Amino acid sequence: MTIIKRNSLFCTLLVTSIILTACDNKNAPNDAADASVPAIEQSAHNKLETLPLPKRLAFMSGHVEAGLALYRAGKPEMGAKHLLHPVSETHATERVGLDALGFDASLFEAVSTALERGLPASEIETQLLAAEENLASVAAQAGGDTLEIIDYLMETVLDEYAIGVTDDLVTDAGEYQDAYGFTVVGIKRAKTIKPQPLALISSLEALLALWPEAPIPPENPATLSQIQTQVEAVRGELNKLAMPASDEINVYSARKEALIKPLFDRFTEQTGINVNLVTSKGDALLTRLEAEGAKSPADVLITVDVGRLHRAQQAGVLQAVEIPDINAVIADRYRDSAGYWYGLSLRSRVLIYSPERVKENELSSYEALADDNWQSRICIRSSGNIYNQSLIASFIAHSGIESTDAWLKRFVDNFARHPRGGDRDQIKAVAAGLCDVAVVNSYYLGAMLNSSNAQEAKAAEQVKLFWPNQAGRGTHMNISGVGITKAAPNKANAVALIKFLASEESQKWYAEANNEYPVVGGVDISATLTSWGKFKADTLAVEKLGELNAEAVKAMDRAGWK
Amino acid sequence: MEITQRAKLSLFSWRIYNARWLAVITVVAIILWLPLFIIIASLGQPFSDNFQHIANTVLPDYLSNSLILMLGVALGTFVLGTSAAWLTTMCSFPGRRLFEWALLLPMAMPAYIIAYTYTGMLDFAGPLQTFLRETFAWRYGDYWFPEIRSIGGAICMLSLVLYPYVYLIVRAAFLNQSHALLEVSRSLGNGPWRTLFFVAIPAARPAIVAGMTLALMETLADYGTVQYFGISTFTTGIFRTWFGLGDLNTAAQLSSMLLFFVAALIVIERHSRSHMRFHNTTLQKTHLPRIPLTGTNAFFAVLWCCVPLGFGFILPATQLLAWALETWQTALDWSFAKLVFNSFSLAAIASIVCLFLAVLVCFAQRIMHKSKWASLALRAATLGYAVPGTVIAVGVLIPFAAFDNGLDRWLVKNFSVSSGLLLSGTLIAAVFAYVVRFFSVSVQTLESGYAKIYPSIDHSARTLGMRPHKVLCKIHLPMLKTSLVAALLLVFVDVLKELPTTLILRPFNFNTLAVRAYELASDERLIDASSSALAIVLVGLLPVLLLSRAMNQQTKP
Repeated sequence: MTIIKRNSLFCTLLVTSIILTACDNKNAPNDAADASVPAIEQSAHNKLETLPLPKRLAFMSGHVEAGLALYRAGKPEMGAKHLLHPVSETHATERVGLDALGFDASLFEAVSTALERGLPASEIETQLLAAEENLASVAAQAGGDTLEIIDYLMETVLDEYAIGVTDDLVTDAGEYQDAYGFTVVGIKRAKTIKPQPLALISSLEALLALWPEAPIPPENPATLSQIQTQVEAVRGELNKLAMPASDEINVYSARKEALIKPLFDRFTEQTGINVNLVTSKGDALLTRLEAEGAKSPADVLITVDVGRLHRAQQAGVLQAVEIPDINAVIADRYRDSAGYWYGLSLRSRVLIYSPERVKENELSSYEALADDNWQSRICIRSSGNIYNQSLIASFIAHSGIESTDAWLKRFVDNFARHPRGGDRDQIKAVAAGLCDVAVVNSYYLGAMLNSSNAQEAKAAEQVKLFWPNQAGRGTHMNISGVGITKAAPNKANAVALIKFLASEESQKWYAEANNEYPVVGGVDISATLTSWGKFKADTLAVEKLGELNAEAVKAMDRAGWK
Repeated sequence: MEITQRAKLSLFSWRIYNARWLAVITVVAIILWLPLFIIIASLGQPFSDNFQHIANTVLPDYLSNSLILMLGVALGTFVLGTSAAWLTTMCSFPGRRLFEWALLLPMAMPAYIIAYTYTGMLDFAGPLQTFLRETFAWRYGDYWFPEIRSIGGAICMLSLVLYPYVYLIVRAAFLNQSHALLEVSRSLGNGPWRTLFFVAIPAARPAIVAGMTLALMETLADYGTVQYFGISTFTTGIFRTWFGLGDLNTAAQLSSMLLFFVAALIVIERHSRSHMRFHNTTLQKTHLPRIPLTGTNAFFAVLWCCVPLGFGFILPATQLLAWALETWQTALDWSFAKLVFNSFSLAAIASIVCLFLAVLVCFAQRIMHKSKWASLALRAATLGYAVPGTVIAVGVLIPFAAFDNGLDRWLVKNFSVSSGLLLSGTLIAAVFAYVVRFFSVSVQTLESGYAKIYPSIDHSARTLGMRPHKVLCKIHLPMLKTSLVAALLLVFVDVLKELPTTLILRPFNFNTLAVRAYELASDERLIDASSSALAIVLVGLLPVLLLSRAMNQQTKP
């Protein structure tokens, strides 16, 4: 085991030292040279710069493995080319991030100098060991999904073999040997997986056997289609391993069944993972999670507001999970900085007005609704509603408790009636003339506009939507979101589900099914959402809303908002 | 000589039985009290700033609204329930046989559904007011229209769906009322009205109170209606504290206060009629001839019965049907059949368990009728009905999960086997919660049945050497038949409509009609919710019809 580890580290070490040499000494002999680099190599090379670090390391290792195999086979002159191969292709950008992982260049400079002088390996053993230890920590830090890396190596094997062997003859020995090296790296990586994936390893070994004389070009090499078949076999094994161990995931969801189940059905279709669902109120689910403790069957908690996610995090029932793919697509302010929860859709709280009785230019911000000219003209639901609580929490976050208190008193005085009913009722009240402006979540207007009920649709067409605070902080946004529970028995599935819920397909669905805005940028939105135009959203980090929720409720109580 | 000997022996054995039955009542009471104890234990925690904040700002509002609501519903259910029971048992008029069972129908209507339905019809933006405005070219403020979403509206909604509790229990009381009593009243020259107010109602007081107690406890526990109508009651306050302030402990403290409030009411009521007992001496019933109503009287009787039936059932059910017709294609599929099955079986299991325990406990109390402890334990075990289902659910969740985790740790330690969560998240937890919550319904119904069986019947049986379980099976159960069926039905329908407990405690992928209806309705998709709501009503009809048959059989020897 140690031998294997040391071996592979040694390869990486060599590559690294060679790269460094090349950088230090621009006139190093690269006779095989840039001019002769085939087109495919060029493209792989271009791709390399954008590859994640773990894959770049694997790519370099492949070349070095080929060189080492030739060296051991007694062809040092052939091997040297391969050991130098990466140098010609390397740019400084490829090594970006190595330093951050604790890479110590000086150790490798020493090794490369020794190698240049042609010292025997035994004499530089101590230097090798020191460098090896350093690299071990770098490799551990770099991490990466081993299965993904092997899959990438297989892709590269196919590319290079297609160049190396044409018309059943070895036409480019270098590429033929590189493909061999990538396969060797693939086997070594596969052996690091615990427990050992025997089927995968044996399929990789069967692939390696297709090089009859190892890296030395034979007269009758395996055909490309033989390689292709075996690579497919390897990929089949990879897919089997990538399938999570269990085929189910347990979801506690405060999002109602009708507004999430269709997505889960789609997820099951794609992955074969069955979704078990309990829906309830967010706080009730949170209490259930807390009571169930470490043995809770729940994997994820889905809520319809950030306040509940914040509470769940405070209660210690969630775990922080870094999902790099998602961090790249969801803006910071819509997810927890440590990865305890992720936003899935956006819910904007907007103004609805009657165009007959209100001119658009009379409207500006939430704040202005406390002015005297709105006396008895405003409809809004009860302060028990979470979206009102979040809105007031955003006031406190932006302007402090005292000014919020003062504003609330004047705002509540302007209500046209005691708060009652839901958001749709407020919209209908504006349409019917009971009040002139209502504060509602935009998706309710969307649902009414698309309603099969003619009366609802008619009422919705009589009113207009206004985006408040465009000149200032932007329109208030809340999120529906998800967090992985601390007890999660199917964590891998939970990650897969979150990735799916943040995928373009799912993000589109929120807009189409419930007129919510996607958290992921660049996703097509529904016609209804498009018709409301672009707007500026509040950039406040939504976790603030969770922190200030209780403060907001108290402020509303003080102001007499029923 | 020989006879005396045997009597002594059996009296002795009754004492042994006494001890056993006391144990039964104590064990059942303790188990059912567990969730309530969890809630009350919160009083041992320090009162937080949030409590102070609530007391300073909103508590007076909560209290006054809850009291007004209770007074209103008390009056509403009393007037509707007692009058309907009197008319259908004592008078004869066209359609009486139909009304006899049809008047139970509103019971199948969940309060929040009727509230949503009436709002849909009568709200300012609803079709009726819109029609009026368009016809007469009125605008907002030009005319007066009763506001449905007000405390008055809530009283109407709750009275309309809760009066059947009073009707059902009082009707059984009227039917079983010693006919001699009423005969004497009439022969002394009292007209039907005087007989009603001065003889029948006072004599039926235990039943009336039992029915009203149920209706009022249900009112206190209601969340859906008052929340939708924007009325701040004690219950909305509990949830606001929990959900809004995120303070479960203070919410539990408020719930405990609610419990004490209800306990006090029950004690006062019990005390006030502690010396009044009305018993039946016989199984035989010769029903008094009904007072025939004709002409105007008959018309008004029909009209009067139509009010609760029409507003409590026909009108909202028709509206639901109209909405369901718009959407049934999308709503009705196999998963819908599963919902019906789940709802039905859950309600059946819970009501049978409830009934079984209630029979045990009521009989035990009957035997132990002099034991203060037995009566206190029983009273305490029935408090759950006034507590919102969500709060009960939390009270069940915490001890069950603690038990499961404890068991798991013990097994892992001693046998290296993990049991996971054994009871949490299973239907056992849900059924247990239903029993805690609805035990009161079956006990109240059975008790009012028992109240009419004269204790000397038991004494005679004892003297004749009958053992307790024989007394129960051979004498009490046959005499209690109507009450038994009523108790079963009431719990069945209650569980069918039950929502919050199911919502929190249910296993994965387990839906009921109430859950489906609520999820859609609370998302303000009333029209989509109509199919499920209507199905609750329809499934609830079945036991209602069974009950009315049982009642008829009893009235016709």
